[in-house]
Amino acid sequence: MDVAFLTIAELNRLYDKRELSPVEVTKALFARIAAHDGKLHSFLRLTEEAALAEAAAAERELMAGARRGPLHGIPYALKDIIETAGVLTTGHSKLRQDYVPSADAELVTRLKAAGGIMLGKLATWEFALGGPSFDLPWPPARNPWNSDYLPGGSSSGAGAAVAAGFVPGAVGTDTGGSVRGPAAFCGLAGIKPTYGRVSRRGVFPNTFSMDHCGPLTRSALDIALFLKVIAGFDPQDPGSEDVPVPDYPAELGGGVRGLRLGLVEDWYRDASAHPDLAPAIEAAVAVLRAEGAIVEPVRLSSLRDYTDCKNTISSVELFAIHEQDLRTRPQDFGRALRNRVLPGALIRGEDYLEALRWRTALAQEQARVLRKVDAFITAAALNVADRADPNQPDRLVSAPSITMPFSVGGLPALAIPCGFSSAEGLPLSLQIAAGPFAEGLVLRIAHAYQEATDWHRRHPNLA
Amino acid sequence: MTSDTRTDLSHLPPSTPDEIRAMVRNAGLDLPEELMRQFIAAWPAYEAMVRRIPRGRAYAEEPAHIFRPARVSGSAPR
Repeated sequence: MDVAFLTIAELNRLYDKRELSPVEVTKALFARIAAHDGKLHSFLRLTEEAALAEAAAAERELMAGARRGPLHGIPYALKDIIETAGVLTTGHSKLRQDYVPSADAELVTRLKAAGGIMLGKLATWEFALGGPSFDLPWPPARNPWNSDYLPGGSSSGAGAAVAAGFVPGAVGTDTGGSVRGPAAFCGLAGIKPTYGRVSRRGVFPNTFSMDHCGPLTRSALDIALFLKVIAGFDPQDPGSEDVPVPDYPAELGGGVRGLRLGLVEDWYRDASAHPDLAPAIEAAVAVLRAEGAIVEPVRLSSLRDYTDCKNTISSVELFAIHEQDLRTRPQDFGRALRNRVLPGALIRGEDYLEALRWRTALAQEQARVLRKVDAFITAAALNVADRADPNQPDRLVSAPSITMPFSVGGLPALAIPCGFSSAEGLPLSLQIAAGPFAEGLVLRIAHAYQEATDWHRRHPNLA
Repeated sequence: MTSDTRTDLSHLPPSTPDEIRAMVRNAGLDLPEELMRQFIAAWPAYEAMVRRIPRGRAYAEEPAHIFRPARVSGSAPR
């Protein structure tokens, strides 16, 4: 059996029927990684010995009928800014290339307790910001759909590894779109949960007030299974919220009949957007309407506004995080990271405060519209993946981002595939967002869409 | 929605390379010349971004800061 593109839900069914074992799956995935990751560079390091031990333990427990939960015996991998006890956690940076944490991040503790099997640590843009970079100790990850292209960032290795069939799920981080972007560019499901839903403790910070951890998988159902394990209150994370975690998989079946969905059209009907994007979103809207949803246009502030607000706040927080290294060893930063962190030194305190006041106003605007609709739908990326070009100009602050609005609002937002571009054959993506802690609703809408379509069942051919 | 009449600082002229060098020095940063040149190329997009931030909010419009002393001390009901 080819296990490469089995979903977490399918693996669970096969484990239950004793038709597949965690050890078989783990060995097969390591063989696939060995065969193909040489040109994709999605993993920075593998933890094969520990993974096989975890797989053997999971196999024994599952055979004894002692299932711990939906990730028991399920392989996964982690973006390399997520700390793992005794395992190098470099942030894909020369600055931390020898750093071995003494403790696991809280979400890793939860994954281990759930019986998951960690296959290794994944490429990222440097410290989840500086990239794509071609001047770091490791090369940037490539897109499995076409290795001349990038997988997006900053959870670049997570997007590449899941799309390539190396793991059924991975954990990334999303400050301005770093889970949803790679999910969009690699044809995957990826969620940025509500701010405070998943613990950030033990995860290298990008922007304290906007950092989120979230999974990338092949379906909304798998996101539900993954999120159920890693979500939940952490009293040692100051941003964590003590809100009960629903049974996400159990909430998926409600369908969309009668739901009011606010379509944010202005954001993706932009001259710079890919010409195939608007028709793909229109087709997705038609599917949701056919399933019974009521879709109506809504308006929010411009992407330019949301992008400026987010990037001003981030720039200042980033500089505070990296200041000491910038003063003492600026040459050890990759060029992209250095030039994105340094501006924070020149942004005045009053500018930062004005951006934070703007954030309040923009979040309130989203809340006002959410009193009229149940959820937002729009695109998850304005274009297909970028070519792997070291001379690409930096567009972080000059180009509007369609993921940043929900980072500013702190709302749960999910990307799922909704088509492919005709010229490049690369994935296009739909974004669904809803009110705080409405991850279950977001997943329910996505699941209804995926029950009616098969974009998420298409996979790249690595041969 | 964005107001067409809002106040921002977009009317200010962009900083010159010499002014950017001075600002970097005033921030206490000592960059090698090649890194300084890279930053002088990168900064104008950030300067324009910051100047587009709307100003003149009402006093009641507070920043999106959250400080909850009970959470920091870990001693009070959540």
